[in-house]
Amino acid sequence: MTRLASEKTAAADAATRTTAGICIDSLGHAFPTKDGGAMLALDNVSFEVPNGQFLAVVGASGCGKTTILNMAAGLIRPVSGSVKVGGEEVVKPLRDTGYMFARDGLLPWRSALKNVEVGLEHRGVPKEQRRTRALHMLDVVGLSGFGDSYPAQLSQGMRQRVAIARTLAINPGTLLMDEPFAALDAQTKIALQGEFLKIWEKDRKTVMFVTHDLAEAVSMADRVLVLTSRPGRIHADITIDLPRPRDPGEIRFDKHYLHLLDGVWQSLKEAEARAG
Amino acid sequence: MSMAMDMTVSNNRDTGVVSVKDKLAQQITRERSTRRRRTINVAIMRFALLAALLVPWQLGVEYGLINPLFFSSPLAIFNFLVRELGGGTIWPHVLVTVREALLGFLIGAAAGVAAGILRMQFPLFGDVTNPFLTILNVLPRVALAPMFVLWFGIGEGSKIALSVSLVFFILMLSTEAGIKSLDRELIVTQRALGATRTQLFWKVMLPGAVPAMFSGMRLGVVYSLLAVVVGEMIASQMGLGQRIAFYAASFQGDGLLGTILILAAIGLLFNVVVVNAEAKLMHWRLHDDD
Repeated sequence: MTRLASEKTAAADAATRTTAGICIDSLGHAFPTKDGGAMLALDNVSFEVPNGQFLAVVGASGCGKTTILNMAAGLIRPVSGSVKVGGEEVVKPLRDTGYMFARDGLLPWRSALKNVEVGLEHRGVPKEQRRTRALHMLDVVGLSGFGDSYPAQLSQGMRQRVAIARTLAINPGTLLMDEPFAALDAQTKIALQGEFLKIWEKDRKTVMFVTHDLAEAVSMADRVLVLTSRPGRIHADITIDLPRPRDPGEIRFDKHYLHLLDGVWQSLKEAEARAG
Repeated sequence: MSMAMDMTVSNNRDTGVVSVKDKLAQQITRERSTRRRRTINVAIMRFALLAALLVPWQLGVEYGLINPLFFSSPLAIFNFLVRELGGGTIWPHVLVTVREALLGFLIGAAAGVAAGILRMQFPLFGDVTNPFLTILNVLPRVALAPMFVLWFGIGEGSKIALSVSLVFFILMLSTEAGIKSLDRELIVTQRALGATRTQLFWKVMLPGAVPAMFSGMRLGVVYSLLAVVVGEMIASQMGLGQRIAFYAASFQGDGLLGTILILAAIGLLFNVVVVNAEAKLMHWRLHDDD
């Protein structure tokens, strides 16, 4: 795959990426409450995602998992602590980071192809190159022939595929994912999880994946972090030593998978009990 | 569900009854002819309604029940239109009114969209200008007409100014509403994809506000026509508004109502142009009822 950043920065990226993927250092965050006080959302959270690892973060709603992701994406600044991606301190959205949300966020006035092109447009990639790359990505997510369709003409699953293609088109070194499959029906969800894993297993980008679906976390990730809620703290750090390539549709009946899933589930229950 | 469908298909194959596909085709044909019949019926009923209004009016005048001095008659209006439109003196007035309305609309819309965008992009500018614009907007703009005559003369300038003063606010407010109501998700997604502030503006906010701008424009053309006609009625030498004032003052009901009909036709034409432009630019939205 061709790198889109200039060669110099691409080389620099590669150099730093071998050492550090995502580095979360004593992150603290609070939100203002209605009565003028502050609600502690994150309390001294530190962890690292080594380069090429697929990390899933789970926890009850309110544990601040999306907040961590938004900080890594450069969409919000932490009150204390720091986030580094690829060795670089994140203060604004980085060009080498891709972000995927539960909602596709496709621009309704753009065709599927033009939606996939949009991130490349932001980076000033020439038109022809943009088009070739976007057509290829649509093909990768199984939507060749739908380039001229508008979001309103596509099903929810197809729209989310377009969103995946759009994020992968910029060939990011790091992927931040916020429940990207949550809005899909059960069948489409498993199908897309599998397809995403297939694409990911080819070049193993660093992934931080936030979800409240434990099965999704265990079947896809290399490692699962369990957070407590209010304030968010790390409760458990569980390694998922399932072989790859994996198929989330098949693995559901695997004994070791079920054992790991149960472990994460128990851990989450403890975390919630501790939060009271 | 797919199992149930499989069963029906195989049943049909076995028993040889009319296939589901054929039945569906029949149903579609039936629905289509029902729709066509309805369209014809609606047209007939509309014509009947029109006749129910015009025939008693004409007969009332013929039998002396309605005073034609105040109400004219359908035939007199028809004759006026034939006479005036077929080479009469009305065309220069039509031209003036249309030109004023179009210029007023274009200037007002361009300025309104620009102001709306500026106010949204620069909140400080928006806050500072807010009270002034609010006062100007609540002011009945027609009250400004005499002042515009003083400033811009009795010619087309004062009418265009009055039109601009109405259209500007309509487009400014709808542009602002369009930008405000924009899905935040779209902006966050594009920011995460690396859009700069300028790119966000051109690629997300502006296209996202287009639907709201169009609903503003649909209102705007109608108000532009209203403004220039009122302006012409107050003080003017040319234009359909001036004609209306003249025919009314000289008790020429056929001229008065005939001119109003011409104005209605112009308004309809403006509306059609905007609606077509909207349909063309927003084809992405109309796709869902394919």
